[in-house]
Amino acid sequence: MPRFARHVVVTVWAAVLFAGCGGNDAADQSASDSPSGENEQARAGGSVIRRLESECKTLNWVLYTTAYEIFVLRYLYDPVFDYNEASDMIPVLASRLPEVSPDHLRVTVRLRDDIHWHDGVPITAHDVKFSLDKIQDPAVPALNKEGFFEKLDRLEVVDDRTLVFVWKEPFAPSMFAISQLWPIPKHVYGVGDFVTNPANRKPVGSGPFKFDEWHSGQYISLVRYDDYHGQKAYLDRVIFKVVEDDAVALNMLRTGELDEMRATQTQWEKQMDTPEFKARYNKYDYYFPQYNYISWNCRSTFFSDPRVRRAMTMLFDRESINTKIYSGFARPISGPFYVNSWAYDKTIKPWPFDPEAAKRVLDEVGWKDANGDGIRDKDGKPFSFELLIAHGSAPAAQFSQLLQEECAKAGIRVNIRQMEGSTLFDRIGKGDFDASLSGWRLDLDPDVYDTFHSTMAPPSGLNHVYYANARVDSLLVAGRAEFDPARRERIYHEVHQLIHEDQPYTFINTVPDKRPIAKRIHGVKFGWNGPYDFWPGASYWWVDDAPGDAASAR
Amino acid sequence: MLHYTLRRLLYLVPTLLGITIVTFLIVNLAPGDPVELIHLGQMDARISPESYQQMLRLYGLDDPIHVRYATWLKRLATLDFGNSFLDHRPVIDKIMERLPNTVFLNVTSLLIAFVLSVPLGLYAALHQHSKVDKMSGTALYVLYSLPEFWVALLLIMLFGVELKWLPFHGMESLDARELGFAGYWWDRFLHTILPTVCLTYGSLAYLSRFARGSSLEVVRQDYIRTARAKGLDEASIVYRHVFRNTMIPMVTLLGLFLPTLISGSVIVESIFSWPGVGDLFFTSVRARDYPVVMGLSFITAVMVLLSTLVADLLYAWADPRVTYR
Repeated sequence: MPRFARHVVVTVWAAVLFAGCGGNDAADQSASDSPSGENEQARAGGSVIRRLESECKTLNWVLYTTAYEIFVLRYLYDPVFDYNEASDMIPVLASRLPEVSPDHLRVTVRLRDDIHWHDGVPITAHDVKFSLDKIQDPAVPALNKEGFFEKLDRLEVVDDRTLVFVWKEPFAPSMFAISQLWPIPKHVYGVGDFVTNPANRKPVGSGPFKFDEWHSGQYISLVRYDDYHGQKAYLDRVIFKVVEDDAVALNMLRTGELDEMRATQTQWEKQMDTPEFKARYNKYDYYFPQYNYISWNCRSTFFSDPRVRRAMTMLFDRESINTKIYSGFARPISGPFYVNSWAYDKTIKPWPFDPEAAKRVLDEVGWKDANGDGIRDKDGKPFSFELLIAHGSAPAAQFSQLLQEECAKAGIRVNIRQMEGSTLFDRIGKGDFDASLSGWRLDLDPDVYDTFHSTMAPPSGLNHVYYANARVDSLLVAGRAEFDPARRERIYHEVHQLIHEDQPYTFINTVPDKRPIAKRIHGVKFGWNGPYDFWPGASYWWVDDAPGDAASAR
Repeated sequence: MLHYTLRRLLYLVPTLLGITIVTFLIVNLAPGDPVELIHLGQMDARISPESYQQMLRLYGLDDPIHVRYATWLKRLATLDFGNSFLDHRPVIDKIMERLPNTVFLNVTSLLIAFVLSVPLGLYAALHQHSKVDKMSGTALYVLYSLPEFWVALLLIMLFGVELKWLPFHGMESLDARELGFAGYWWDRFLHTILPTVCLTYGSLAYLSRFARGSSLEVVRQDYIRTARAKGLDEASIVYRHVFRNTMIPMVTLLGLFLPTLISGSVIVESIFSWPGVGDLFFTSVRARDYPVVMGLSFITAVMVLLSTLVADLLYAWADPRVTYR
C-alpha cells in the first residue's frame, strides 16, 4: 500500500504543482526560462552545487531511505514511468504509456530497445523484475517501497522488453505505484551480498549523469553521461555538498560555494531579502503535498467527542499563525489532502477561530469548572492534557504556546511536552498520547486509507488517533478501487467533509518550501513535489557561465 | 613500576566490561528502534507487523537483550564491531574513515592550547596584579564563556564571507587533489584554521588560567625564595624551578584531555562539515544505530581508561616524589 504519508516534525517542507506560485519574487524569473525558448539558448558545460542537509547513506535505489538520497539518485537513474511538470504520467525507460486491461488487473509495460546502463549493458525487463524482487526480499531492508506493491500479485517477465504487472484487486493508486519502481542493474547488484555491495557507494546508473566520486561527509560528485539514451544534459557536473547547518549554508550561498538551499522562514524574510542577494538569486516558493496538524487521540477521555475536538480547533487561532509566524506564507487548510489537488474540496472552509463558541460547546458537553479552580472538569477529572511536540522544532514550540495561551483563557490546561524525535515517534506510533503536533507529507495519489481507516489504528497502521467512522471507512475502500476521475473526486470530497466535521486532527496549515536558486542557473521547473522530484527534475538545468568557467562554480 | 602497570591493565578488563554493559543497556532501552527510525524515514510508511518482525530479525533485534549483548561481546572478542544498521558498512570502517580527521583536528588544537597556555599562565603568575595579568584574565574569561557555535558563525562571516580569506566547509576544496602536492596541503591547511580556532579558544582560556594558578602556588614556595636568596638568576628560577613544577599538574590535566582527542566535537564538526566522529556519533544516536554507537563508546572507553593510566605514569615521571609499587 502506497506510503501516503510520512511524518515530518513540524518544520518547513513544502509543495508544488504550480511553478513559482504565489511568491513575491517568483515573477523575477526571466522569460528565457519558459519551457519553449530555452533549448536554443541552453549552453553545455559548467557545474551546479547543491546542498545535502545530511549525509547520504547509500546510492542504491532499493535501499535509499531519505529525501537527500533521492536528490542524487534522480540524476543517476531513470524510472520506467514518471510524472512530468503537469503531473501527467509519461514513459521514460518505457516506450509508451502502460496498457491497462479493462478489469484494471493487468498492466502491460514495454521498455525501449535502445536503453543501457552506464557500463554499456542493455537495460532489460529482468532488471525491472530484479529491482522489485529485491524490494520484496525479506533480507533486504526496503520497507519504504514495499508498501507500494502490497496489492501486486506478481510481475511477469514476458520477454526482454515486456513486463506485466498483475494486481490482486482493482487498485486506483497502482499507476502511481508503478512509477515508483526504478530498475537497478541486475548484473551489478545481483553479484555477491546485496546490502553490502560495493556498488551501493559507487553506483552504475541509467540516467543523464553518472557517478564520479563520493567523499564521505563532504561531497558527492556526478558528471554528465555522454552516451545517454535520451536528450543529453547540459551541465558537465553536479556536486552535492553536505552542509548540515542552515546558517553555514546561507554563508556558502553568499560566497558562491552553493547554488541552492532550502531557506528557513527567517532567512527568507531577512538575510535573503537584501538587494544584493536578490540580484544573484531567484527566490522560489511553492506548495507541495504537506500539512501540519494537531492530532487528538479519539480514545482519550478528553477528545473522544467530536464536539470537543471541534471546540479545540475553534480555540486555536490558525490565521494568526499564518500571519505572525509565516508572514502570510502559509495557507490554512480544512482537510487531509494536498491543497492544489483535485481531491481537496476548496468549498470546505476551515473552522473559524471562535473562543466564545468553543466555550459554549464545552459547557454543553459537560466540561464545566465545577470546583471553581479555574480549570474545567467533568466527573471530577480536570481538563488538563499533555501535548507532545518534537524537541528543537521552532514552529512546533510557537504553535503549542499559542494553543496553550488560548486554552488557558478557556479553562483548559495544556502541558507542552518536548521530546526527542525518536521518542516522540515511538509514542505517536503506539497511539500512546492525548494530543500531539506533527506533519504529514503526502504522495501524488490522494488515498488516505492508511491514516484514516479504522483498521489502520495502532499497532497496524498510521491511524494513530484511532479515528473510526463507518462511512469514511467505506468511502476509503471505494476510493482506492475507483478508476473514474469524476467519481473518485466525489468520493474524496465526501471524505474531506466528514473528516472536517469529525476533526480527529486540527488541520493547521500547509507551508510552502522556500528555495533561492542562483540566477546563473536556467531551466528551473517545478513538478508536483518541487523543483527536483519529478521528470526530468533538475537534470536539464544549464548555466550562464558555461563553458569553461569552472572557477566560479567553486 | 612494571608490576603496577600490569595490575592496572588487568583492572581495565572488568571496568570495560561494566562500561559496555551499561552503555548497551542505555542504548538499547532508549525509546524507538532502528527499524522504525531508519525504514520509516520518520514513520513514512505503514509496515505490516510481519515485515516489521522480519526487519527485527534481519538486524538481530528479535532476541532478548542479554542474548544480544552476549552476541555483541562474542564478536568483539574477534574485534568485530558488526555492520551499521544505516548503511550496512562495517562499523570499524565507518569509524576509521572519520577518526583520523577528528584526531588531527583535536591534536592540533590541544597542542596549540598547551603550548600557548603555559607561557601565558607563567607570565601572568610572575606578574601578578600587573595590567597584563588583569587584562589577559578578563579577556580569557570572556573567551571561555563564548559559545562555540556563535563564535564559529562570526568567524565564518568575517573570514569566509566578507574577507574571503579562509574556506569554511569541509577538509579540502573540490578537486583539491588536482592542485599538486604543495597546493593540496596548503588547501588542507587553510581549511583547518577556522575549526581549530573554534576548538582551541575555550581550552586555551581554561588551561592558561589553570597554569597561572599552579604557577602562583609554586612561586610562593620556600624553595623559590631559597633560590632567589642564593642569587640564582631569574631565568634559571623560572625555567628550572617554577616551570618544571608548574608542569606537574598540567601533565595530569593533559591525561584528562586525552580522551577528548577522539571523541570529537559535535558542534564544530557539524558547522564546518568536518567529517569526524562527533558528527557520526550524534547521527548514530538519533537513528538508534546500535552497532556504531557501541563501537564508538567502546573505543572511547578504552581511550579514557588508557589515558588515565598514562596520566598516572606520566605523573610519576614528572614528579620524582611519586613512585608506584
